[in-house]
Amino acid sequence: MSAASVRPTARDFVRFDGVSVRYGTGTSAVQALERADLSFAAGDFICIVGPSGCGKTTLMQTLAGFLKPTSGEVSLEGKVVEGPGPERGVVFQQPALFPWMTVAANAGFGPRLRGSRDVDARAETWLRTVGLWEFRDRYPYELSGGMQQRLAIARALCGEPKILLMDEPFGALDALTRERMQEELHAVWRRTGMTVVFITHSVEEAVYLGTEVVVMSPRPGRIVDRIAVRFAREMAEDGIRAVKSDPEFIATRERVLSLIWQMGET
Amino acid sequence: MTTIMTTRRAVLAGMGGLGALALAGRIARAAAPSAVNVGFFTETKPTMIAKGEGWFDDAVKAKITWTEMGSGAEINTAITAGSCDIGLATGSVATAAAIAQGLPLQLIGMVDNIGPGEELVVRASAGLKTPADFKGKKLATPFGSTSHFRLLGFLKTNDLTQRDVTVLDMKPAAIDAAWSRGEIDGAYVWSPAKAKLLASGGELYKTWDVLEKAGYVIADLIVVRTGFVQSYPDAVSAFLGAYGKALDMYRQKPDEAAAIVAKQAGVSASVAAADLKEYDFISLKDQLTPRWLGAPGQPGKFAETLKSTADFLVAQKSIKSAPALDAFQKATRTEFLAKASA
Amino acid sequence: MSKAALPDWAITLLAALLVLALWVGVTSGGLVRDLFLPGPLDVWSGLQDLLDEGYKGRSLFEHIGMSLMRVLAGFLTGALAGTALGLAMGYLRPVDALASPFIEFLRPLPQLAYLVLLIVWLGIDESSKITMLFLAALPVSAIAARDGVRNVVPERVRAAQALGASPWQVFRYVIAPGALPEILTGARLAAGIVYGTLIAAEIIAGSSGIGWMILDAGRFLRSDYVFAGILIIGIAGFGIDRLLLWLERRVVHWAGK
Repeated sequence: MSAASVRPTARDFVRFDGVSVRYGTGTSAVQALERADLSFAAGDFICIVGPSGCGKTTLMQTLAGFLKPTSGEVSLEGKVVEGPGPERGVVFQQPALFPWMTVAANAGFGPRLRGSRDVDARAETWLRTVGLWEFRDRYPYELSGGMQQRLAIARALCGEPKILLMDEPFGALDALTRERMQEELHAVWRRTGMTVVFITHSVEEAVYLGTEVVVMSPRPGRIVDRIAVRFAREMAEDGIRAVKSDPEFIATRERVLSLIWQMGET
Repeated sequence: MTTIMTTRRAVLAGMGGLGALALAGRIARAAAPSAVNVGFFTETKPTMIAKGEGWFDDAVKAKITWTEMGSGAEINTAITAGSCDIGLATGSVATAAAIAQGLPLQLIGMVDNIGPGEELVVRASAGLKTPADFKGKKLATPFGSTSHFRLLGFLKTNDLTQRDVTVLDMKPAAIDAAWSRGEIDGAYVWSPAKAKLLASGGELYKTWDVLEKAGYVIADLIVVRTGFVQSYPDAVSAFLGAYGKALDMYRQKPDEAAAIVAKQAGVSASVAAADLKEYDFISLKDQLTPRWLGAPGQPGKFAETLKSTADFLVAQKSIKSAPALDAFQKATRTEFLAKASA
Repeated sequence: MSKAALPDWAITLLAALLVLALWVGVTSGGLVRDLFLPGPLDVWSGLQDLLDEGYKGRSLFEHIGMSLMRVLAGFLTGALAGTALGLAMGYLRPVDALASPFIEFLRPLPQLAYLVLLIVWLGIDESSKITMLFLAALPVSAIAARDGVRNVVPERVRAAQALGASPWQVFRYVIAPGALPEILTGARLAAGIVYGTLIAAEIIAGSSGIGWMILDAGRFLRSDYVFAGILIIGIAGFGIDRLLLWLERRVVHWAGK
């Protein structure tokens, strides 16, 4: 079963066309990304996995607009990405919150920049969604790591992006917090139908969160495989525990893992 | 007096390295010192002949280390710290303060009576003709100097206060700069600053003759660290002898002397010749007369000048207290002058 | 820390008492003359004297007021201008290239070196004194602000950009507040330097200010006044530093967390 059959939206909501990124010049140049082609539909939850140096962060940064491809182009809804923009929300591994602003001010930062009138209402909505409403007058340093990351997600979502880009957002969290955050994120995704690009080191996380797992390999960074997964769409009914014990889940996980192990041997 | 003597001894004993140094010197009583530190000012005086020709070095039979000082007060401090043995042509105001405070130095001779050498220069365009004209004016002088003392004397003898006249503390170079900007109406200072002011719109406002009569005598003196005097009396006499030789040369061959002084001070020979004429250099013999330092056992009038200078400084709160006249007489040691001029 | 260890405040108090005892011991025994080291009572009576009669034509508070006015004026103008310049240097490379050589040249320069120039250019009034203090505060503040901008966490800038912030908004909401802790640390440093430059500034055509008073009294070893002046300048300096520290902790409460 492919992702496209689950949701028959046009597959070119996001398009990477022959995207290459090279850092530096001459002999010290590093080919971080080599001719990446990738497209996916609105509402997809794309998980990117691969060993360190495979270019997954580079790939995401070209979509976020932080990095200009050396060749090729990235587009969102047919519009070529030229720089960062509010239609693409970003969450980093470190929450990168603004410590001089209260929790509420952090959440409402995006809408406030644009002079929206319903800043407070929107901030409230998202803070309630991530369970931080009662901490609205606190400062980020008064929150735990998990709460900080929830705030980072709320801040990104409060900007009402069309797509959410997450670079190992739960990498720095402990296992318990991480699992809870995964469920919360998933609930938000199911409810909003938001498109998510999610980079992770954890194959298990990728397989049960994503509608599609993109596997990348290093030196030079390339996309080696794309595996459609069905569990993300079914999780609402079955719950995490059921999914994790499903034989097909285990088989998919092993398939992705073996792909990555093979890279290590070459 | 006795208290001062005891306290002075206490200081010498208590000041660690300095005390040890002084005591060592007292015990050694060597004929010639191994090294001599002289604090001086670069100026156009016959002292520069003896310095330039190496006569001072020959006299003390040692290599002299010359250190240029910023003020007489600096010489006082350096002598107290033991890093200076002889202060050459230091101002009488600083020396009066030093003796009053019981600093370990002694007056052994004079270089000059400053007389008109330091004088009030006023802006010609300011129309300052009488003391009353000075009200509301700004005058500059290096504080703590002989010029400062004279200027304060000028104000006092004319019933002017520092509320009537603004007196600013400035170094000669700063006086020059402020003058060129037209920010001061006058300055009490010495050359080269004095000459520069006169050359750029300044004129002399004569105060020195009246002030000298009123007791505001200022002079340039030769002082020696007490420990050095005790250890090397011969070197002290010889040092004065070398200065006497320079003074003689200046009297006999003024042009030749001016050329040497000019080279030492870094000015032209004509400037040196002109500057030399401004001072009243006192021969060693004249210094021994009652009018100046006097002879051994017969203190001269200059001790009274030092005493009144010190009293003035006390009134100014520059020093805490001044001892009686005999402290100044005892700090004046004329036996070296007598030996040098014999 | 072991249980037996004294609390910090007790160690501080003990050290202060020890120094005081040493001071009294050395001075009261007649071991050292009051010219070189006045005893606590000498200093106290010197202070009384200054309070009662002032120093050379001005009351003590006039001297203190003049000095504080100069310090405040030089510090505020220097720190504000320096911070503005430093922010621009950190954010805009051409500004950095333009201003850096001058700032780096000015920073280590002893203020006394350009004393006469300041008098020639600006005269002997307050303007030259305050300018000297301004020039002392400027480079430190500029460098602190520039480094503050450069050390802003790049992810925060990207997060703001991804939320649609314009370059000005990034500067206003992320760079400037992000650099604030370093700016305030720089301000404290600048205040210290300005304070240390006060005596040099008051050499210019002095006759007022605590710095000048110390200098003038020191000429003929009027040590009781010198010590009283140092005491005043020290306490005021400590007060200024604590005030700035308190302000810093209040304003940048997030710093270091």
